[in-house]
Amino acid sequence: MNNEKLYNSGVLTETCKGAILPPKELWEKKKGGLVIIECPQRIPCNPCHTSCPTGAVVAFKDINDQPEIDYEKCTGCGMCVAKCPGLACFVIAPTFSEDKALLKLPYELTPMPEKKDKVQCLNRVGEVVTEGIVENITEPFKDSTKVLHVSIDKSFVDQVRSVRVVK
Amino acid sequence: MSEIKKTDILIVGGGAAGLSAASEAASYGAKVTVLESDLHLGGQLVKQTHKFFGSKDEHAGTRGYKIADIILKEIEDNKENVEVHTNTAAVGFYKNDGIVTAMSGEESYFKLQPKKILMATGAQERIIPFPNNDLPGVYGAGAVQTLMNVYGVVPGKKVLMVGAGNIGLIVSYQLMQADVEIAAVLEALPKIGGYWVHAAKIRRLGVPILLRHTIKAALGKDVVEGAVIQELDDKFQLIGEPKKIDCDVICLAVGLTPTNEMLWQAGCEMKFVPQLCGHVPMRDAKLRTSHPDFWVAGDAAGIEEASAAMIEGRIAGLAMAEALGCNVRKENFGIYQERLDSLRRGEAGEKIRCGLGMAQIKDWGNEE
Amino acid sequence: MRAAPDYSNIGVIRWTNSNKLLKTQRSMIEMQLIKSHPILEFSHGKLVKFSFDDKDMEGFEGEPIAMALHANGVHTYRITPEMKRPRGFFCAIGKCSSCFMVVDGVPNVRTCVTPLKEGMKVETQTGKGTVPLNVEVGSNE
Repeated sequence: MNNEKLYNSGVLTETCKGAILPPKELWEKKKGGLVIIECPQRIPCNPCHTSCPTGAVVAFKDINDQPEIDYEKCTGCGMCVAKCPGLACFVIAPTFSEDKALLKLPYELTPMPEKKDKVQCLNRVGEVVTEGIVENITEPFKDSTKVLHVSIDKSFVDQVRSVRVVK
Repeated sequence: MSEIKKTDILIVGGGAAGLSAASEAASYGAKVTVLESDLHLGGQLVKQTHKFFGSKDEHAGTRGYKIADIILKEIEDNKENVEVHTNTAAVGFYKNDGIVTAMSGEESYFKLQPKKILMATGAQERIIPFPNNDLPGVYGAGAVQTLMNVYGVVPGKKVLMVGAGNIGLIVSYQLMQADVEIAAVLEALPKIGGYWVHAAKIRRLGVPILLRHTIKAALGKDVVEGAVIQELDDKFQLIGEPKKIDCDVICLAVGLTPTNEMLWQAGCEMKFVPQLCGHVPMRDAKLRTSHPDFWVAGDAAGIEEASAAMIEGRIAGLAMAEALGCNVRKENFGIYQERLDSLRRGEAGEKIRCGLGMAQIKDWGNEE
Repeated sequence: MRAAPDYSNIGVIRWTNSNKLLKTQRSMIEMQLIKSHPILEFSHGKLVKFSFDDKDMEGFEGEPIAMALHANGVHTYRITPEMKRPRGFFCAIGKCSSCFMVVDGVPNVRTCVTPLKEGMKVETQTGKGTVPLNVEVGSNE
């Protein structure tokens, strides 16, 4: 399937406005990681900004704008990850260990994993590309959206955007 | 049974728009009666497990079914002014004496004489024609939501979703949350109609979204056992070979159309507006129809979505209270209108703005 | 209400009233009900007996008849008059007429919005149904 067709069916194929990557140098040093938001479409929505405690997700001039991020202010706290109605926010910390990165992603399915569980890591078209370990599970808003902290091999940070829990 | 119930405002429909209107009007002291044909209030809100978009005023980031609770709590605060009848359908409006007849359950009738009436009756699912589209197992997307999110019943094992608008994409995700497999999502257009993020959510869980595909037939004798799908070209003609897909539920998410029959009975000026998905009443900026006692809000005024329905409900509730002579905060008209405009300002609101251009006039010019 | 052992730590099935757990747990395994959900917790009313085409079934009081039938694996509710086609439900909000059945002798009942009561007699409707002339009005209210 060509890139345009993939994008038209909901698969991000390249960075663009509303779906950018953090600046490389900052990202590789930042403990706690930085946010990646994959929201390239203009829609009326702004909880990513209203939930951000540091103002890293910049205030929207118009509620239909794509989100903009001030990476200097991002602490990788993951509040936006839990609040985004489109499940479009992710925090990635390449500093987790020598060869692993930590990926914080939203999860609202069953079965619910537990700490130390191995999970299948899926790319943007749902293919299993690697295995990850659940390092931690949080629920910042106590509203049934869990944030899974999954450690994965660093080479997969560009690909993994969801997990499958196999019990 | 021959006694006629009198009320200031009758709201037909206790969903997002109706409840918002009830809350608004009751807060100014108007006596409000709400008729809801389903067994509980909340309309479509009650089935929405996903978090809403929009802005904080419209409870963005809060799950739909909790938003219903928020509005109901507001009504609680004014409950001496609000009377609710569930399992009750409004069945007719009689122009000569302004009587509305209502049916409770299957057997008991009563009559109402309201001063003002709000049509907040929402919409109904459309279907597309294909052989066997009437088999048990072919369900509207809303029906599948009702089954699993309201009553906790498993809709089936494997679902073919037809339509990749917001409803098709959201219901597919909700099905997965209920542990139901999605065989595929079909979309006749070359790109999805719903929000990109809704599609991304399910694509990354492995759900195929087949663009330029349609359902050719449902298979099965007593119930759905499978489906035949085929690709379309850019003129929507079938090309390639038909393919068989295993499924036991075919979910149609092919669009909604407003339900507002009572407005025809009242003699309101109606117009067919494709961008609003059907016949809608002409209305002014305060959502009053051409009949001086009828207002309209929510999907019944034009297919849009819940955040807009809630604000429209407030505008209509405010306008009806004003028309009754209640001492209302007139500046709220401007505030609510700005919230509504801001939701509709972007590309996602283009269709609505176009539709409203055909259905909305500035004012009727014959204010009492 | 019969006291039941405490099943609240079994994990999968969550109920608001633990007294009902024993009976409803057994029924839930037979009925096609959602056993665990990441967001919603389902609280059903009282489990009651009703009959469908003379077969005994169980469903939750106050919930639509069509839901109880679906949970029991019954998907066909009526047969159409002309072409004898099976119909189930479609819209589930009382607007389409696909789900009409004969309930306690009365035809064309919208089973998707009519609440189930203990002892209801639900039958597949064949054709347009006939309105009985001697049904007791008001017997259910």
